[in-house]
Amino acid sequence: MEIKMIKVDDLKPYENNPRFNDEAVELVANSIKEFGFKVPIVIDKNGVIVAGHTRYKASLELGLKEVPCIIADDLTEEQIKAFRLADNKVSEKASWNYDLLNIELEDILDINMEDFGFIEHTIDWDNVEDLTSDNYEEPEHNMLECPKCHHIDRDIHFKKVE
Amino acid sequence: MKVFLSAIETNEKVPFNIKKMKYNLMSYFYIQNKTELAEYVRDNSELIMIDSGAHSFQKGKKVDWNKYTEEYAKFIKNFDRPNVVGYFEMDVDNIIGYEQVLKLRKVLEQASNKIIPVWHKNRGIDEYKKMCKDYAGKVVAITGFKNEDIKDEQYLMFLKYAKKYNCKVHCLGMTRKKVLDKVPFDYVDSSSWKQNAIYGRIADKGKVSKKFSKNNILKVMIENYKQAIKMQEYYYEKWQKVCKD
Repeated sequence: MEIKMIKVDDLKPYENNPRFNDEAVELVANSIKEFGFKVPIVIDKNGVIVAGHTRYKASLELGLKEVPCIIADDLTEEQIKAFRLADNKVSEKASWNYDLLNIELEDILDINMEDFGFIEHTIDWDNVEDLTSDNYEEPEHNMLECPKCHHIDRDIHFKKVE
Repeated sequence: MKVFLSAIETNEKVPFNIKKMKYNLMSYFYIQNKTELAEYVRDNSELIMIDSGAHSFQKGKKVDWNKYTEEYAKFIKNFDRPNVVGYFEMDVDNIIGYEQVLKLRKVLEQASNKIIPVWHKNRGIDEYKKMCKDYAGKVVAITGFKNEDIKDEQYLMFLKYAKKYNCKVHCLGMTRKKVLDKVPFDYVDSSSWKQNAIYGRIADKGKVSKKFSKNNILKVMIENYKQAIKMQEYYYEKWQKVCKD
């Protein structure tokens, strides 16, 4: 399998790419900045992207001139269409083992993993007020009146008419 | 945070068309005569919770509370498996009063040690604290309906107190994203997948499909359920370090 450096300007995004990937572009760009371009883009013989639209957009964002590509010239048009979908679909089936993930993350000290989407959500419990009868505020119900029959009741008993 | 999807039992065809399910909450009120369905959902889900069906009573259905509770207790004995997290108590304080609710709780606790008490504001804060102490290490519940018992900005205080006694907190009916994104409840439940389905929506990445008819209602429901599984994964991942479960 040959990996060729190809000008980003010569790559063509597939016009019917059925994936939303804009949210992932920044994370992929961060990964390329940190680790280099380690996963080539797969293209067909005409330069149309088969797999790697997010890497392509990240390359544009980073202003890269050339990127590593694999030309899938051994695949038929139908196989290319199928591979384009299959490549994305199979990744949906994988999931995390969080115990092992956390062990791995704990070993990474000098690289900010938030750059790649590993955001650690925590609560600073010391800054949360202690619950007492004095600071508990009983919610007040929002009351509404029916414009037709003038029945007054809680808002949750009314339906919003659009 | 584990988001339990509720109302799967109200359309009998939906569960049988979904093979792998994560967390489901079913209402005893609806499954009391649907043993096959309830057992199928239980046996094909990672975790299950059972609600007493108290909300159904509040819509005006007449019930003999003692008889109903005894039947619910019998059901619990037969239905229980290791993947059932718990069974919510008969929290109909507003109809029969807290004293009576406590009596019904005792009946249920003779059947199982997995009964989940549900705090309401009429019980007072001292009773919330007592509940956390009495149920230390177990699951306790509060309500998530807007302006019902707890203001959105005060949920963290309730959670903090429960953590002191190592309780897991279920927030019933909490579906508001702005709260779920800030408050790491251990468990919540949501029927919004079904609401979306009823209105013919398949929500995915902000796109809403309204191509919906009587003929495709099952398909729409199943698609929405599958989308909701992604929501379950999102909140589990988001809070997995805080909830540690």
